[in-house]
Amino acid sequence: MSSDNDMKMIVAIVRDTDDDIILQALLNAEFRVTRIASTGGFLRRGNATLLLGVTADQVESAVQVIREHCAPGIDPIVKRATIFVLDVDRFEQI
Amino acid sequence: MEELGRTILDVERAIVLLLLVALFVSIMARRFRLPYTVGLVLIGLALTLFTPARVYVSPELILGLLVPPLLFEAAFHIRVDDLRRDFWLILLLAIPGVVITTLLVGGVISWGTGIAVQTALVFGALVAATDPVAVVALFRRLGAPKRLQILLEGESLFNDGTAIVMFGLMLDIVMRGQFDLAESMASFLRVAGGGVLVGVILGMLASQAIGNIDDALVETTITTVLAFGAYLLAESMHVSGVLAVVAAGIVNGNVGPRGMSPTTRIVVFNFWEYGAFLANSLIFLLIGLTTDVQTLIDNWQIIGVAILAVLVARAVSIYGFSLFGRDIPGKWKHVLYWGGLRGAIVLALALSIPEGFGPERERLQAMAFGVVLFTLLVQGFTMDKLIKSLRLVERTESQEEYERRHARFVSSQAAYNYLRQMNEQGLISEHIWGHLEPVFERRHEVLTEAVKEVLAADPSVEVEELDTARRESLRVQRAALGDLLRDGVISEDAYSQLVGEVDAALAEQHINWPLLLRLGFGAQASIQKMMIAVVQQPDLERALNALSKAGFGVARLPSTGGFLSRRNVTLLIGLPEGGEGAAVQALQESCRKRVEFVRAPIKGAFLPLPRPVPVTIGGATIFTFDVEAYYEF
Repeated sequence: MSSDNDMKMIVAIVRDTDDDIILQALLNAEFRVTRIASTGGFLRRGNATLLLGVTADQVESAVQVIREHCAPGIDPIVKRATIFVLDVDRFEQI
Repeated sequence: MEELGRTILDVERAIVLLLLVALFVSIMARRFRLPYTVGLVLIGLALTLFTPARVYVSPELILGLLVPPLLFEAAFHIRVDDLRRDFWLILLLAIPGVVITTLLVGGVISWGTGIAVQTALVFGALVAATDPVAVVALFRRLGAPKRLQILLEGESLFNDGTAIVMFGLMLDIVMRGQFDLAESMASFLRVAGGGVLVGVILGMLASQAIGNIDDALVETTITTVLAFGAYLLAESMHVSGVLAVVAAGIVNGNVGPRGMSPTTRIVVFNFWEYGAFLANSLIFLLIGLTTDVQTLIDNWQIIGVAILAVLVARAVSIYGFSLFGRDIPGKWKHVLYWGGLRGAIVLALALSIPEGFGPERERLQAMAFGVVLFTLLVQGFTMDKLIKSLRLVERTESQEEYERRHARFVSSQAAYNYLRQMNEQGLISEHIWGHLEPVFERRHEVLTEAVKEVLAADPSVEVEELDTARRESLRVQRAALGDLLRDGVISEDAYSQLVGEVDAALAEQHINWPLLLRLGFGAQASIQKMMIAVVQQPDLERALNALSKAGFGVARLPSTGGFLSRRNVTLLIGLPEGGEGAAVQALQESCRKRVEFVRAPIKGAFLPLPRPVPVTIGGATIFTFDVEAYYEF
């Protein structure tokens, strides 16, 4: 039942050090992105969460953009990005 | 000239005698497994029975010669990374904490005894400095959580500095006879800020020098000059010498060792450990000599009030300020409270009250000694039982067994390597090596199997080792970046960004080791569902731990609400096939709904009388979504 024009929501959790770069890259690639502010603060490390509404066929390229712009971390253990792709029942832009 | 020579010999004689006593005490302390400060205070007490002559040591000598080594040593071996985690709490306890302690203790004493307010405040300030040396040694022995140890050490270091500054101010008020709040506050800020600035600058200069020199003796001398020089320079500029020493110690202790070779590092650390031991010993023995046992007995009631005041003030400080800390477990608060021992600095400050202070001087010294006696003997001795009864240290059987087997393995390995080297250098003949080698290899196999066996039975023991390995590797990376910067290979900007990443990684607290171990470090979890859980802030730490333990990866979305109001945190949890049940259960266990009573004003009352209103808090709201695809890198 799903066609290539079904909308998907991408929830991407990235490090706050990367989020500006990734945001810019996604905007340059003409994706519409919403950033939920990061959890970090003075002396604390945080995540930034990005929400994107994309069509099914765009998912792959959006993930690729994020992958390319995540700086290879100095820390081998902690993940640089965690991405969930969710199916969307209904998508409206008013 | 001759006079001076004779005086110096007298002093030398006195010091040697005192050190002989200290030596005796340490040996006894070691025998009875007592922290040596406890032994010292007992001997000090015994000495009060003698007081051969009126011993007077000038305040300048105490503050300028005996206090700097104590502070420098403590500051030198504290690691800034470790402080970061609870930086704000430590600062709160150290600065406002000391101010509150001064006022509370001063107030209680003034109210409970006849002592004048200004005098009581002088005492309040000097008794605010804590000295957890005895307790920290206990922590290490019992294996209590490192974070707790850092909290106590960090608090002690900073409150020593603040207490000394406050003491100086209060003393000044009494000696001058006038008080002006604005001026005092301005004074405090200027003196404290100036001291820190001087210390930081000197610390950086010294670290530079150390980096450029490779000679253990010279580098040790640099640190010595730094410790005493910072004090003298700051005091000559009328800013806080002690804070300068603390600042210099912290800077030098974190930047300096990078420029030292491993051998130098050992020499320098040992030197300061000995320096602190000397200073500690002399201070304790001096108070014993300068305080008359009769004064102690005469003032027993006042000493009792002082002890009570100190206990109350600490309760207010610890239980009050820890609310602002990042989720300090209740048990820890009790240990932090009872761990607020007083020691050498309190005695040093008491000894440094000038003769011109008046008749109360001896009283204050007796009170100080009484409080220190109480904390060291009562709190020091009962801490062991407290920790055990709170079940703070949960060293499981398997953890201990793992440590034993791991230690055997490592030491056997070291022996093997050594002998192999001897063989390669020709110091052990091929023939002998031929006999020894297979023996060692067999032992190696057996020991490896033994370690594996323990790990298979209980993988959680690996976690601590993994965590340490990770931290050390990050520190090494940081050091390498420092080298690159120094050699001009990377720019300042690149350095600060990369170092920022390393520091952020070091501050990371919630690494899900069990999950990583289960999956293997490179593999990716196959996530089928995404769970969104909105939990209450007070339950956050427990929820994260429970989810981590159950093997789920969790991301945190920021909270709503403001300062002190109840906050939500939204968690994003990746669920593998069939993981829903376990995740919900983990959340259920950690976010129990409970009823608390909140004070709400009664409508229509004349005054805003609070009436407790039952409010349901806790709980969590959980949404689960199907996930089409999942990526992580």
